[in-house]
Amino acid sequence: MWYLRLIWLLLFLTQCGSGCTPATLRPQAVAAHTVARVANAAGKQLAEQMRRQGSDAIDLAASAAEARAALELVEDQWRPVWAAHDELAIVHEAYAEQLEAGGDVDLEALVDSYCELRAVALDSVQVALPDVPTGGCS
Amino acid sequence: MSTEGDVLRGLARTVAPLLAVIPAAGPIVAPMAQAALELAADLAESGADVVVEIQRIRRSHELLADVRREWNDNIADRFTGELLPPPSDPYGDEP
Repeated sequence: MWYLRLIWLLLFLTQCGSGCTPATLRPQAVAAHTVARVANAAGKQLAEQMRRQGSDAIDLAASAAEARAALELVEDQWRPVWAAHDELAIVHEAYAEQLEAGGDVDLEALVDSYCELRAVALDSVQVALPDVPTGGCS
Repeated sequence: MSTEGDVLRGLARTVAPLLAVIPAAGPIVAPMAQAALELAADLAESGADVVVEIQRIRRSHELLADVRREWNDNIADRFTGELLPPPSDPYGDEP
């Protein structure tokens, strides 16, 4: 998936320290926008996968109580994934607000947050999200 | 004449369904690849004057509201008889 790697590469090419100028802020905005689009696309698919898992559990249940208990288990399994997803959203929001205010941004924190979501998704629900280039999440 | 943006958009439409058939990771990766290609198309079309309004990440409660509503509806549909009180004798001829 060369195009995903190419997009992710932007994240690394756009890093700058405390001396960010307007010229270097633009690619950082592209990086933030890219992370949001990729995360939103992944979020929709993760929600769809969870929906199917829950619907299957309801189909197998013999009673409403049993269905609700099975759904609790599905919710428990997915809880860490959504916690990591929401944490990424918070970090991303802070990054975007800082960028829009013209301040310094912490791209490493944004990438780390994505990597955390990636690790949790693999551990908890066995969904493999793509790594950043050069195996940055490993 | 097709532009670079058109080509990338065409790729996005073509590649996503192909990726979607890959077992396990396909359905997850395909929309992400499509999003990445559509973004690349946006950037190609906007040329040097890229003004990116940064998209925000949707929170889980927004993503899951419909999922939970559908589960509740499924349970209500499937176990209606169980959730409703037992029907009373409509003809009043029980002893």
